[in-house]
Amino acid sequence: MSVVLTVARQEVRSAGRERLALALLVVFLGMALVSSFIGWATHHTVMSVYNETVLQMGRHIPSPFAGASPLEITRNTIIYVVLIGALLATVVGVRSAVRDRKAGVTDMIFSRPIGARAYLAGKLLGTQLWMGIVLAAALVASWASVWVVAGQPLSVSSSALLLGFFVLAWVFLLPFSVLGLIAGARSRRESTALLVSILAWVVITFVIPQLGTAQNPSALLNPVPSAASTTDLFFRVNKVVLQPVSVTEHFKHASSVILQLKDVTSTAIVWDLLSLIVIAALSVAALAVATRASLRRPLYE
Amino acid sequence: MNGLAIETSGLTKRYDDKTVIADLSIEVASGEVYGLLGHNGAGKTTTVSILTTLLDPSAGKAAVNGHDVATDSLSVRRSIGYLPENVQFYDALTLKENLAFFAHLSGIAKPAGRIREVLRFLDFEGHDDERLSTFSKGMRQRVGIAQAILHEPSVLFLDEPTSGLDPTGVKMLRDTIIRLNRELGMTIFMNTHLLAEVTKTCTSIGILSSGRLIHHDSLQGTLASFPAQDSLEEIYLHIETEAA
Repeated sequence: MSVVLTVARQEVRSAGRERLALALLVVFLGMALVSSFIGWATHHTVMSVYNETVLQMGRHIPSPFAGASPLEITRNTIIYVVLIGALLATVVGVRSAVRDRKAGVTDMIFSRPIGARAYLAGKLLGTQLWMGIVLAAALVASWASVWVVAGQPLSVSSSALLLGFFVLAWVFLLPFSVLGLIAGARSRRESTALLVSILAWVVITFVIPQLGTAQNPSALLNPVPSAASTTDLFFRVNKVVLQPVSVTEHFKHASSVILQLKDVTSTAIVWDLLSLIVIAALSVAALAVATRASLRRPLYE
Repeated sequence: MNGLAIETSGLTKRYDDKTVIADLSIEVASGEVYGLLGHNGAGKTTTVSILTTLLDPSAGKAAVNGHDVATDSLSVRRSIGYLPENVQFYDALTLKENLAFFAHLSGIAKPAGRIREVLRFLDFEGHDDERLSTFSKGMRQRVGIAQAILHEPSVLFLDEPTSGLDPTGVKMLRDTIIRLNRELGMTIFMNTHLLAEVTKTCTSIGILSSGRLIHHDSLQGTLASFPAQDSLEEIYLHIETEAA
């Protein structure tokens, strides 16, 4: 078995014995179920108002959900993945990186014929396998809950779209796992690693999208679908610099298109997918900065 | 192989302006149990870290089993076992799972048989499926020895192996070290400051003081060279005082 697979298997096995893994599973399953419940509640409420209105008006008007995909019910899962999923991925990354240092086994590991890159690649593979297991469980929960709410199972094409969304979520979460791994590998304390990675999560999830909103300043005042064009240099620079790295925005847009949500303004997702894949690849490449010396540093707790 | 398991020449390690090891030259023949003595901060762990390829030397040469630690580190790592100080292991995993991980890292394709063999050698059977969170410090040290010898290395490095052990644990570990050397023919290089243990296990000793090797001889030669001193402890203190 290669070093990468050995470390990955150890990672999956070790993580599986920790409470964090169970918590992760519960949170993701909860996210999927809550999302479906909110989707159902929204649908139910709107339809009640619609039916009442039709009754009072005495004539037929188009249903607000006419032509809507059953996947609309899962729309809140997108924001849960962005907020909770990304945060958990960073925490899982940090835990993975500090586990060996806490166990005092890094020197034993690196006295074996393995390199830092193979070791970290194994760590990342193990972490992403865990995320994959958790997302797969969330996929099953989402699929089942849509069946229950909609009263019929999803079609093959809708099921494939739901699968596509969770695959995209896996790619989206990868840089956050890497962020946690790097912070965990380079920090002298676990608490510092957690703080640093959470700070980075805040910047990626909230600050950059906020600045990104400034790309369309009129949208802050009047959220019209098609914002007025921006001429100010600041906004133009913001747009050029931040748009490619606004991973949460790319994920939200691509997911909305994949899940066939009604209020999507553009169905072109090539740039979103490209941006997410490039950033995931760059984050994996960033692991190369870690050396045996940095990974061996003692953890002060 | 030139009969030397470990050989260093002018080995030096510096961190910025601080020299931790200075011009260290040691020769350890195959089959020896070598004890590197010295007070805390003398440079013992740094020496072992360089010999196990965990640290790069700033100057000088070091070779283990004829392989240069700087230019042929993979060959060095394939031929050595290492037990660091204060080893903990993965508490949530069982003994067998912990050892299987290190066996795979060492390139042992089917480790189950080898793990059984090692545990039998260490009189450690019956604990295979127990989690390490239930193990005492002494038991963990023996697990550390087990992981270090899984791949049948010819040289074993032990960093303060008896540190923090109770007298029973110390005796068990001492017996294990002696058996590894006599029955399996392993060369053992250990850092320690427990001089009583050195007398009972080592065939040669070196004394480090502030990064410099101030004494290097066989144990018998050392004892014979200082007839006025009654014990190795007195000899050690005498040599340290003289060097200062």
